[in-house]
Amino acid sequence: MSAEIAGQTCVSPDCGQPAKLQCPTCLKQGISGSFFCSQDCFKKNWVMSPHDPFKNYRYTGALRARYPLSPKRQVPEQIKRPDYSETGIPVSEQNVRGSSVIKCLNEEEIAKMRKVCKIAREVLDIGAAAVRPGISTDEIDRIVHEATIERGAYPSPLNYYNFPKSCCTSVNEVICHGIPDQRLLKDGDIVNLDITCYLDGFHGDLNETYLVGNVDEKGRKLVNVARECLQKAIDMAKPGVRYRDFGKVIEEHAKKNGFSVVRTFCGHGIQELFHCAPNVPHYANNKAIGVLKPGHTFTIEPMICEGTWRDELWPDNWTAVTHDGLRSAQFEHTLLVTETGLEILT
Amino acid sequence: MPASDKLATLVQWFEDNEVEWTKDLIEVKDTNGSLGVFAKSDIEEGLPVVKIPKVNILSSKTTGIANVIEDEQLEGGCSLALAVMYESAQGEDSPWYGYIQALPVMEDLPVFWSEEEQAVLNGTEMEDALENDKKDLREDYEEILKPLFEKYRYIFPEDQQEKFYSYETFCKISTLVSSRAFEVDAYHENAMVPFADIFNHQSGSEHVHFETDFDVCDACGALEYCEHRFFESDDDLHGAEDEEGGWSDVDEEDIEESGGEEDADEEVGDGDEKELDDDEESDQELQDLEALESKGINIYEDEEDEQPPKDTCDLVMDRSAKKGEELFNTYGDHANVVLLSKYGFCQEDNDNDFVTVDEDMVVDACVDQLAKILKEKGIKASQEDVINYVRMRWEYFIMNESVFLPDEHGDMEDDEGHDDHEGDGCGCGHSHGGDDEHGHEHAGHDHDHEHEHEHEHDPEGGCCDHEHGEEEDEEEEEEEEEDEYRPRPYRIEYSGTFEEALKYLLHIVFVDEQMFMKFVDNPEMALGYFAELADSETKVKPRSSKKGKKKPVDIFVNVKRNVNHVLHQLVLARQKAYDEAGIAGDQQALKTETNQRKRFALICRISEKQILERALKLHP
Repeated sequence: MSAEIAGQTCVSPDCGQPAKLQCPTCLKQGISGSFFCSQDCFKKNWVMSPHDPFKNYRYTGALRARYPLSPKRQVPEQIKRPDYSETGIPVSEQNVRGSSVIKCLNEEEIAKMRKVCKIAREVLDIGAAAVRPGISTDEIDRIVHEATIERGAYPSPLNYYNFPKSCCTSVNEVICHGIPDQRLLKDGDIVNLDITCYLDGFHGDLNETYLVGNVDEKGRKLVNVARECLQKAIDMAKPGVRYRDFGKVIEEHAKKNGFSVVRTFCGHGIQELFHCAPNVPHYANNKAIGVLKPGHTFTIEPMICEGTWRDELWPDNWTAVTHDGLRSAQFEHTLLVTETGLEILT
Repeated sequence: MPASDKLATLVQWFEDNEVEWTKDLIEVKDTNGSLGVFAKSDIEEGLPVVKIPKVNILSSKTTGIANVIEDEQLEGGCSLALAVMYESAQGEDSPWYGYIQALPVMEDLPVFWSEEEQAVLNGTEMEDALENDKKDLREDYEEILKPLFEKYRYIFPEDQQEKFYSYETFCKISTLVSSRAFEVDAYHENAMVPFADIFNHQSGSEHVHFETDFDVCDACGALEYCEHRFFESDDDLHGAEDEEGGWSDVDEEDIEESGGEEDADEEVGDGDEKELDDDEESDQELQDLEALESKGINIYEDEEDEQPPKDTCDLVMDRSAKKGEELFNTYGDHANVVLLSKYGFCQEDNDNDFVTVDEDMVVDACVDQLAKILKEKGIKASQEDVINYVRMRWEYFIMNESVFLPDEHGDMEDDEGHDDHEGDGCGCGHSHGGDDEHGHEHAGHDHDHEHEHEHEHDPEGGCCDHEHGEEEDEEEEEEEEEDEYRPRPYRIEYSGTFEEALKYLLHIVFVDEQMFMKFVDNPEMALGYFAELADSETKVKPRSSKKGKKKPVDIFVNVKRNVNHVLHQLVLARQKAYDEAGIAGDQQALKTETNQRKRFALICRISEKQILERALKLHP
């Protein structure tokens, strides 16, 4: 590694030294051309080289990943962290995987859920306010991150199974779990911002899809229908209704408008665990188990697509995009089952 | 709805729910209102003909109210019946509608017979079993279900009570569950398995058998390695029951290695057994798909993708079949009392049959015999003394029973899940020893009801209720077994022989005091005694003589005489339970009887009486 590389000079501007090193990240991705003479030049230039890290991947739509990701954001010491913040692995979730038990929260726990959901809502609104053409998703992530820690909360996505950022930004054909990067939002984009906060031992999760500048009619319709799907599901819910029932109502509304419903990703139980029972599919004819009981807290988060519902993953193994590259919109709330119906906590 | 529509709807349901069957080889036909599976052409042995994905069976884990069942910790038998009742009440909204609408309304089990018909069973093993059944059903309904319905009115609405949640409905559905459910695995336990339950039954010469991977994680149903297994201690495979974070102190490095090969199922929410392509990647790359799973995601399998290994219940050909034949499954080898109480029929001259005598009868017979002996010897003793004497001997035997008879009692109540087939589903409160094979190919044990059927004097409803006078306080006789010791009935097998345990017990009661003291000092001596006893019975004796001195055989002769006498008395006592008609009378009645239920009852009686006759011959 310390030998000179034949014929290559350091790409750092105004350097001109013979190159001895290659950016290891680029190498891993099979990208060549990132030659540097020294660690110093490398570091100096790290931020200044936006590029598509997945040149060999056949993108389904127009969107491209834009790396490098900004450095990992810090969370102040005193903020309470979930079990995966160090290792990435949520042991507590894995312990109850497969269980049919759906937790009923007591008054005290419900109060905490209300609190964290309120904060998550505030954070989302702040992030949403920043949405405009020309801003990078990474910048939105920074704003969200700051807002979260300002409120004494931990951004739940951060390091969850090693997710690198504090929120998910899903543009156009990205269904969900988009990683905030250097890509700038463009006029005509639709972007989903998914926020989860962790406060005092509880998670609150919500997302919304926003229009960036002037969006075409179909895009606007897509976003509206997604919002309506969520609302319709919420409206039918009360104790005794089954978790498997939501899908029917959602899919019916989506289909009526010519859209499809993603099957791979589902709503989920949420309280002390980020994701747990129940599983809440958004499509019809599913066999999800569980009946709504007062005290349950969970999310419904339908993802509605212009074209196919089938998804595939980018090589980052997070970003889920539609197979056909057409757009997808989503809305999410954290919900509490009450004696008479449902309360939207977010 | 006409039968043909029902069948069509059912078949459509199979299609919609990924039930696979060899359509060119088998078909479902409706013959006189009941369904059966028939061979469309010759079929060879070894072929799996039907595969049902476990995610589509109806169990207490897959039903919509699974979380309620879990929250309320409802037990096995009741919970499956409740699941069926609930899904049935949802009508077309139930994912199992197509399957449920084709089910018969009920099975014609003795619980539904008229009093007159039930009376024909008097004296048989069925009599008490039936009483217990009826009692259990009532109890389960009043004590478990009714309160549940009231607690969860928003799930079991008032206006549905009468039609879907009444006691009658419960009984009917319980009979369906009893006769049709399969023991699927450690996670689902007993479940309704569509298609599999269409095969009718035949003992011996059956064509198919039910196959399933039993050994799955009982916390999440994973077929392959999952975190629960990793976190369990080596010994206890059932430790995974504690799902609420019992392993928060596990090292995180360990978790990295756990592989996570099973995913959250997108539909059911419990662990599914689909395998991911990426599972073979190194530990550092685990996060990718695991993460997605835990975000409530399931990786959808495209048709273009590789088919992951499916976790299914299969029906596999045990032997070949010819075109046009109806294909049968087998219930396994069961006594008539099981066949009748679980499946609603029984067989003549069933060599799995047995008759039982209860402890009361045994004790009485012992006491009588002892009193006689004492009288002959001119020894005075009060009734109480005699009883105590018997009791003392009895207790000794019970305490050491597991030493004297290790095999038979390895299978008592605490045996759950150690056999391929039996597993959790057969946590019945009775012994599996002896000839009572549960043959769990189609076991579907409805805990609360069915185990009663095997024994007239089942632990649950049997002996414990009888007055034992001052004898054995069973609680005292607890062995090393975890469960409370329960008095067993003693069997007379088809051949007329009494079970070993009883014979040994009686020997203990009747050996002379000196010998007994030796035994008390050292139970090994008793083992030796029994071994010699066994030997002496297999050796050919040139003369059988009840008296006289014979060398090693000496010690047995007197005891044997007494034991034999007691056994003889037991048979006579047992015979009294039936009404006056003898075997011939019953057989005559059978010839002319047209009521099928009464016929079954007569068949039971005849078979049992024949056993008793054989027993008399063996113990003259």
